[in-house]
Amino acid sequence: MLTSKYINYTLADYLEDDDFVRSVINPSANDGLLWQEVAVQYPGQRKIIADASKVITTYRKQDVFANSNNQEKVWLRIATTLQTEQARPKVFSLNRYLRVAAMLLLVSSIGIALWLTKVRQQEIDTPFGELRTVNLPDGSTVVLNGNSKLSYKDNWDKNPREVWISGEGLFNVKHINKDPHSIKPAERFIVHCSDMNIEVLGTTFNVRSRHNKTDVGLVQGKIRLDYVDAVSAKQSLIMKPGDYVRHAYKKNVTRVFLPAPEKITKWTKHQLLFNDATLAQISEIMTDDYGYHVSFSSPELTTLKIEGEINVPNVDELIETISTTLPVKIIRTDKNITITKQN
Amino acid sequence: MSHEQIVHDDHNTATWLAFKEGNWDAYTRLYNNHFKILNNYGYKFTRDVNVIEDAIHDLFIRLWTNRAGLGNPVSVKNYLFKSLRSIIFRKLQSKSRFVDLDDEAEHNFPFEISFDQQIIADEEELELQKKIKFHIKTLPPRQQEIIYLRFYEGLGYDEIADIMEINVSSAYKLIYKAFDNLQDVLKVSKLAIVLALYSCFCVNNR
Repeated sequence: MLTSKYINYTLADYLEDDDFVRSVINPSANDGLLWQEVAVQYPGQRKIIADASKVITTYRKQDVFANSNNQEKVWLRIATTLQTEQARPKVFSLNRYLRVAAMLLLVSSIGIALWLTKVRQQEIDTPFGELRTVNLPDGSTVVLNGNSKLSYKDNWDKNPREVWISGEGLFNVKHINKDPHSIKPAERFIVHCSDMNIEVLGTTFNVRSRHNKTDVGLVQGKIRLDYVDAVSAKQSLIMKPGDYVRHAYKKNVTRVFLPAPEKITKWTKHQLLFNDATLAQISEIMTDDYGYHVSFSSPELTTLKIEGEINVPNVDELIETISTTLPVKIIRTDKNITITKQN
Repeated sequence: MSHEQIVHDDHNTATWLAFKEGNWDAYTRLYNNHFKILNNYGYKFTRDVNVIEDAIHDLFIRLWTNRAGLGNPVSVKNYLFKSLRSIIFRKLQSKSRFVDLDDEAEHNFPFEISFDQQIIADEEELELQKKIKFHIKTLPPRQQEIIYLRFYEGLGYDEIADIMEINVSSAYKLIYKAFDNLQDVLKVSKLAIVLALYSCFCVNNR
């Protein structure tokens, strides 16, 4: 290959050059020689070549999401869908032993299938920092935030629709009641939290239930809260769109009106949104939803407040925003975050 | 293209042809060979694993149902990437109509890579990683995607243009813009020089 074209190459030129990029990503025996030759002929290029290849190799050090654990599960789903569509190919010829084995497999899978179709408690757990959309048996959906748990019975025929949540979820409930004056049991939809039950009639609302306190924000529709503790002055409360209620077990209830209630659903798009938040509130979200461990060098730091709205896509940028707006120093190693006073 | 890659692609092509004939084993192999890389690509657009799994499910259902009418792509992997991408986009779009009440541009789907901090022991490289990360984050998602396809997946411009359904010249333009800035970023730092010296040292000692 001619080396002369490399005489005036810039870093960007190398990154544009197919031969160069390929030789860094997937080097062959000749590649090393070629670039050494270029470097010998044009000593000025040596540093640029090294820079360019460093940029590529550094960029390529990324986290990989292979989802290997679910490879079998998704495949089963594909096979099942194709089978029900009757699009599967004719069974390929099996020898005698395989036929027996297949028969046994079939018998045991029928047994398992029968066992599976009994009403069972479904439980969905999300790891830190990962969202999951759950489709409920009636067509309602819940977007679960990280570190959250949702459980429900997988058969709701004629029973009230009931789910239990700890953590945070955005509910979009399917409206199946036609006549608001007579609500059949099967038309009820109840969300159970540690300290209250939420009764719904088709609506969009956000629940955050952690550490025995629950925040409920209503985006659309109408819901009723029934507190589990009798001590709360009020037994129940009807919420209107835009209402945001915070309740803690045997403690007072605060109720505010949100001018833009849809903002409380920001987390479903992996956005971190805060309004006039203190470092204590921010660190709570980082701990509960993302699994960070946040420590402060002195307790008064937790009361520092960032005025106005923060809206960032990830924890990295959140940290950056905090350290540029507040007089603090933030050290992050892996999942540990230490916040100290800036001198 | 290296020898290894050619072998791999030939292998995929043979599998593809058999799958089109209705060979269930080949179809299974197609799935098993690509499940992980498809997940990795899908994860850049959304962290909702259900969306990715649904998209892979739909993709493979569509492949099997339409197998008779499918062409012979130059690269099976690229073809699957392109199909998965458009399915995920459609899903994200219908989802955003559902919960999103903002007026954000519909086609501006996110693209985010996450750097591995564990395997880098060298502090200078960590520093470079920080710079690259900071720079890349300032780019629009589609430019970030081009960079990913080029430097992580090792694709050429025509392949990138095909997957992203843009024309080749805009792929060139976008990537040139991205690098031009990157060079400025590196120029400002003395670090690049240190790094360069360091790597020369390594080369010489090899």
